[in-house]
Amino acid sequence: MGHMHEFTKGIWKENPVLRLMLGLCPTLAVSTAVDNAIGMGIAFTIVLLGSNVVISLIRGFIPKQVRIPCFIVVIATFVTIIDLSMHAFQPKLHEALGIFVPLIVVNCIVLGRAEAFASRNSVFASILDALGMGVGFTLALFVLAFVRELLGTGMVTLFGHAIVSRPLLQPAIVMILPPGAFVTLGLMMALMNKIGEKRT
Amino acid sequence: MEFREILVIILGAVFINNFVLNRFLGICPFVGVSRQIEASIGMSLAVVFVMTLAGAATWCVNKYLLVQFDVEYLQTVSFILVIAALVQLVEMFLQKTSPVLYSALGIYLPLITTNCAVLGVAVLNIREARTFLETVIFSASAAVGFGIALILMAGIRERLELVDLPKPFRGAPIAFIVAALMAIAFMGFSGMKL
Amino acid sequence: MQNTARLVVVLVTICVVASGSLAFVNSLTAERIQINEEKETQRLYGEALAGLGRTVELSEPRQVGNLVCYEGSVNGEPVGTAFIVTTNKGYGPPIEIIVAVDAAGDRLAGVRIKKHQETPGLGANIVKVRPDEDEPWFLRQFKDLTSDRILLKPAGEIDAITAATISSRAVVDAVREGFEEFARARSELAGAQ
Repeated sequence: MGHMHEFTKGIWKENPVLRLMLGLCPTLAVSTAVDNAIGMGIAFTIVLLGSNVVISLIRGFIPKQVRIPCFIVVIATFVTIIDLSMHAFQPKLHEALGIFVPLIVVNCIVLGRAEAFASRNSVFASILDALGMGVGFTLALFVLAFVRELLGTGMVTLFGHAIVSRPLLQPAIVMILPPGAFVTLGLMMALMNKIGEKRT
Repeated sequence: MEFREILVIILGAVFINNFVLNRFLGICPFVGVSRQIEASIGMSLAVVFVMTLAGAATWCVNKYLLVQFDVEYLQTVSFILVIAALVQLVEMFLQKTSPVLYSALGIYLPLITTNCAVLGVAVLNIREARTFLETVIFSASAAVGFGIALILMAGIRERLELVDLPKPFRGAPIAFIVAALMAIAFMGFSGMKL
Repeated sequence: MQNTARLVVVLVTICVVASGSLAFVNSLTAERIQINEEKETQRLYGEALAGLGRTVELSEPRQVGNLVCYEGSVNGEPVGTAFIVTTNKGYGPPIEIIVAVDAAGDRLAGVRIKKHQETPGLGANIVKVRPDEDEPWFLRQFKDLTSDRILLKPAGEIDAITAATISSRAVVDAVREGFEEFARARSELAGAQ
């Protein structure tokens, strides 16, 4: 199916974090624990899905000159909906993610997809695009968080269950601190470049 | 307000809890703009200007509109609109008064709207329950901290251009590894007792 | 002119629809958020006073010195008094701590953290529960201590969190000072009677 490519591109070739280098702030901040990473990934995907769909639906009505403010209002609305819902139904996750929930509105990925894609394509394609980018974002976040949590605390906990619990080495706390975030992301990007190089 | 309290806020925002290296706010421009020192200086000045104004403006919007009318759930929407409008005004202002600076900053100016540091500082001021004066000082200091990190990074990256790096590391990856080292250095401030 | 009017209309419509939907979602969630917070505070008070899984009734707030105290009872039996202390000697914004003193008034019944923004993975471990345990290990250490033992080892009984001495010390000092203030104010009240 020709459209599947809209979905898969977000996962590897145009991975929003590792290739397009968007949405770096939450990626670094939230990847201290796998639980937080997945929570953020889901919240982000819902916002992206909602805003892509709505913007694609009303794309015919938005005059070009005010399109950015319009996109922003739509995105901010979905972010607030997710913020309130999370606060009500998942208060612990909400507290863990902190200011990065409202900051989803300035996550360049969401505005970027609205401008580059949803405002020019059909609703169906926009849905696939959103899902692909969402999965790609969550995946990048997950891998980063997994590495940081494992090396930084010696174990990995997923929703209360320890999935890796025998520390092989003494944990290096620096991994859950800012330097650990930067260095892990840098190495991941270098790795992806290397793999990309080998393919071509 | 005592001078000491002001100093605590400033040093806290610039060094101890640096927005880029500690709070992870403003990473996109930090990686995107830091290739040249001159662009970095220009961007930093613009950010200081915008962030201070945005912090003050959003604080007022929160106090006199959102809280007054009990619509605090409109915080995200209203704040981001205020910021977008502010950036637009700054753009128009610069275009008229300093076309040189305007063209030097080029595309970076509208990008400040999506700079998480700006919305971040606005939200933090409310969450950390600051007064108006504290907000202005904190916002300006946070922006200065951002600028310092940005200019330092640019200085290092300009030198890195002359070095023979392995291909996969060129560009962003090495920038992040440098950022990691900078972050470790800045962690040294965290023991400061004021 | 036509064009500008259209721009304004579109923008305003979107804002109105957005505000409307947010007001709607807010009405759905606001109460629940409030209830969650109150339930959580109740739970923390209960755990500090009587341990896990016990239902504790809290009395009306009473002023003891400059502390706002709640008497707790389980099945009618008093189990202690709880109050909140705040410290800004932590790493981030002020930490709110619930301190519970036992019914006799000379030992701690328990300590819980009501609110904190310490660094994840470091200071935030003041509330960390180990995977096969059921309460934060750091806070468990405070149980049954008399005020002279509420200090970091070796002077007292409390093991600090590795690499998070600032947060650990902030909590320890706040708890001890709160306890001492409570004991002092109480004996003043008793003395006055």
